[in-house]
Amino acid sequence: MRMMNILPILVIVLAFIFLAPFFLDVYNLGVLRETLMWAALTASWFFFSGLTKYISLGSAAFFGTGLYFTALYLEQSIFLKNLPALPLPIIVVMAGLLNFAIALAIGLISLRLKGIYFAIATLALGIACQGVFNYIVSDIMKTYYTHIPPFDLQTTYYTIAIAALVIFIIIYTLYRSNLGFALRMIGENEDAAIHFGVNASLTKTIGFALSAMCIGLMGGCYTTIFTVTAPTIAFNLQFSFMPPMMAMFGGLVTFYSPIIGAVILSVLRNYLGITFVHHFLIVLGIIIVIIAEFMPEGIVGFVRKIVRKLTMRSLKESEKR
Amino acid sequence: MLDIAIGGVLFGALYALIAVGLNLQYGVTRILNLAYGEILLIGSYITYIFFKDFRINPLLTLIFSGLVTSVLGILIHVITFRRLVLSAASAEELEFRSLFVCFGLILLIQNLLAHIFGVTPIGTPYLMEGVEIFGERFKMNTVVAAILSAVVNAIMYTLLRFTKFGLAMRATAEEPVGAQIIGINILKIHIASFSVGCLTAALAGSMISMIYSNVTPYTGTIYTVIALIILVLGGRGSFIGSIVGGLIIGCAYYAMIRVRASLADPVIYILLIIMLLVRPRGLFGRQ
Amino acid sequence: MSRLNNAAITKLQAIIIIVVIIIIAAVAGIVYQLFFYRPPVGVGLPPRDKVVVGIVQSLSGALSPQVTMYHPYYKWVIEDYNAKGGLYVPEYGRRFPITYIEYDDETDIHKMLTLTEKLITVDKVDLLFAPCSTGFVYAASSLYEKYRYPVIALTYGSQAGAEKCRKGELKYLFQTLASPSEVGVEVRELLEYIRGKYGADAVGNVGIIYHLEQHGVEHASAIFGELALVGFNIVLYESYPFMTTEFKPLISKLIERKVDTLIICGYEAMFFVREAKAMGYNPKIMIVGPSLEVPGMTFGPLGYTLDDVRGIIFYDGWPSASYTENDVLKKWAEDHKVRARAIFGNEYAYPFPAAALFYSGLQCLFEAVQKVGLDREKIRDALVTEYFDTILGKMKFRPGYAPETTLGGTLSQWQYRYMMDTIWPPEAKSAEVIYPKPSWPPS
Repeated sequence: MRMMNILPILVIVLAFIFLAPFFLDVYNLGVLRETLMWAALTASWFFFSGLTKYISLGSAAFFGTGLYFTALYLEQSIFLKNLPALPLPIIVVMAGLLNFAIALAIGLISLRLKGIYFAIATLALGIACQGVFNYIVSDIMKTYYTHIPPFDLQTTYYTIAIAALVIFIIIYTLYRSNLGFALRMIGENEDAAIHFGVNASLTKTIGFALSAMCIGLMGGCYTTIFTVTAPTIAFNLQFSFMPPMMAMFGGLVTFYSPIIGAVILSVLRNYLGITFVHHFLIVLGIIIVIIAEFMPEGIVGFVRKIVRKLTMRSLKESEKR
Repeated sequence: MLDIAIGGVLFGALYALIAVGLNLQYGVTRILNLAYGEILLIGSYITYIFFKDFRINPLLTLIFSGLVTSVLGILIHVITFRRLVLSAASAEELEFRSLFVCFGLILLIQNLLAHIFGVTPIGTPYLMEGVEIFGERFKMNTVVAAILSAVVNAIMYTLLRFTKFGLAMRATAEEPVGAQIIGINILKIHIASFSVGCLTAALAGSMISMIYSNVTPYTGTIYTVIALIILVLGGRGSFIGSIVGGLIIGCAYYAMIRVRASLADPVIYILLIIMLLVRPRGLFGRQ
Repeated sequence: MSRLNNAAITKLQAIIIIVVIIIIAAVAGIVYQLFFYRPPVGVGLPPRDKVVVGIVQSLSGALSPQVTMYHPYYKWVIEDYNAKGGLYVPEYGRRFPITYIEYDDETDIHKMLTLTEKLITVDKVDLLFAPCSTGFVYAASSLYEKYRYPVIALTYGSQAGAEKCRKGELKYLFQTLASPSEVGVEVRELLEYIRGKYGADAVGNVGIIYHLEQHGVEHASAIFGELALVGFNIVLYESYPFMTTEFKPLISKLIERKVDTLIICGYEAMFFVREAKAMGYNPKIMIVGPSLEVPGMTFGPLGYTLDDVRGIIFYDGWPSASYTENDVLKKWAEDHKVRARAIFGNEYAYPFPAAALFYSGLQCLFEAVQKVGLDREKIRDALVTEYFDTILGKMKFRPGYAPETTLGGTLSQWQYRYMMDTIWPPEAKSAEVIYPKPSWPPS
């Protein structure tokens, strides 16, 4: 039933995404590319943090690691010929798996932390990663920039778009799976979840690692838009702050609400925020405060509530008749 | 060796001053104020207004910038966080939603400052001469900042320890429900501690613009992160903790700069992560 | 109800439909890519009423403070040409007013890249100005190559980038600042000169400290290589965290190792000097990177006096014009003071050493247009082959190196004016180098 309802929308969106390079100009395509990137990041963030309510402010660590791994591999294989040249998808998948492993290790030890302490730990992780990579590239390798072979716009667009769709599919499957259910139970009430036989620490760790894997995958694909990269680019704190902000903007209610939040914010930022940035960001700040105040379930939750109220009213009216 | 120890202590004292407000705010209200660094910058900019046109000594305007910012803190709490405190079902939900409010506040304050004052760096350089302590020379203004930090921390400690108001604050921090039952107006306590936290933030902001004089609207996040590190290290709601945490970070940073400067930054954060794993409630935190 | 729907189209069928669409779209994309897509090429001679310049700048975000200090010249040079009646375009045989489209990238590199591409392909600007900071320029340089836009980069100095320019891989990027290897040579020559003039131990122990960022890493290694080559005694070569404010432990180390000549490759000298002054550490020679060279900042927010900074040598930038020697430059400096007043809000809004260079670099771009027209290929060729008249005299760009100019040198020093004096190379200097660096003033 549900599948049928959204199938036409899905087909239109997919067609739009895949055919966009044929009718969109360069700028709009760039915005769409960025939007897809943010949407994928936000969905990955939501899968762990949104479901379990363990807020991670460390997406930048995984994003940057994925980006840097891919960049270094590309540089070593194409420019320096130290490594065998592999097709990009394989490198990106390797980046994702690397992140999976790292996040597994980090999750095992850090997920004992509760609430805000977990947020601070992950935030510190992002900053520490930047410091460590900065140390590696400037003090050990002595070459600050990592060079990446240039890709043209269409290639980068399709790389990021396909990666985003793959991430959506992975996250959606996981979201509907037992793992997603267990994570949501942990988010509702961790003690009760344990009582029902959920292995909480294992579930959390795997969820965290899968989320980090998707973030790293996107980071790897994001490498294609650059020709050079540096730690300050790869581990920029905005990759830590934007996904939670976008997810909460859209609302942490279902699978698609964070994606809608990401799309709205990214599009607003790119079309309104290029000439009057200060004004735009001031207004955006006020809007975010208002949403946090009056719409605890974000924009999507708010719209749903209104729709529900309207249908209830019409139902009541029809009953009266 | 001695110079590193004293220098680290002076530097750590400034960090303790930066952290004390956030610790109070989070300890009592359970609102993790990520916009703390931005509020700190407001203090810097208020000092700058007076310094720029009238060359008024930043130490004289301390009280004023503190008061203005604390009023601002009350306004922020009443307008934004009060609703959350009243409507949130649990402390976790409050933390969660207040984080989102803070994202909005960061954008708002940062860009308001940029809009009003421009983005050119500002500063209120003052007391830049050297002063001798135990045969080592230090900047006068760091010494002043350390003294201010000691005074502020002492006042806060007495306030919390020996006054009725402080007792109410501690009760709210430890047992919010119980405190409510015995007739403490929790909301009032929340507002008071939030605004006192903003006051100390503004003091720290004035000190920062006096010592480093390179303040732009975008430097706030650094101070938020510093305050967070010390909060974790020292423990939630512990004054001794925030002082000791500040001193540890200060001395560790100084020692690292001396030993291997290029590793100083990552080591601080890795230290924090290790601390979180070994003893998540901090050195002096209560469970 | 739901059963009926399921009968109409099953989940499997839905997935098949989606997969088929994806495959068709992908094939179509590849076909388009291979057979129909042509990168946009320059236009012929359309009707024109103005010359449009595209600017992407970090007007907000972490880099914006640098933009306000180092990049007001974009607007000024456009204003000045418009005041002269506009830009003469030979193809049309008349002058056109210059307008600009400016976007803000919020210090976000992705946004900068898309906006640059938007300026080129959607707004179809005639000329392009560079973004702020080495990393941004370097990241955008592939776009300049792809669309063939000659760009004059102001605050940009990278060894990796310069080498690419020399090899001809980056044909459209022109740097105004000297690349790190050139800076290394100049610093070595100055130290050799001092050694020759003031005795063998005038330079003494050399210490190089640098920040862990591109600027510090590349400049420090270039300077280190040059100095080690001619046998200076380098006793300290160490890095420190980017934008750190605490130099006390490092200064103790410098005192311990008896460093007489200190070279700071980084932007943090503003914090260093304050600490060194308080600690009474005074090297004989002090050479610093960008941070203390902007008078409006140094004597304004940072609160230094001329006595504090006297004797400090600044290495970045070519030329450190001596704004008092030449009438044109003198007038320009006075103009600068009036125009930049609003930025710094104080009376010290004098130009920093490389300011005239930034301005004249942009002048070259416009002069090239006046000479060969708006064909960007010709502009590019003209920039590397011809000399243009600027406020610094004759000027020509060299790929991968600092431009050739009539006036100005590389190294400059704070002496007795609120503007720096050029001290090196000898044929360009406006004042003799002050050696040793005067002691800190009593406070």
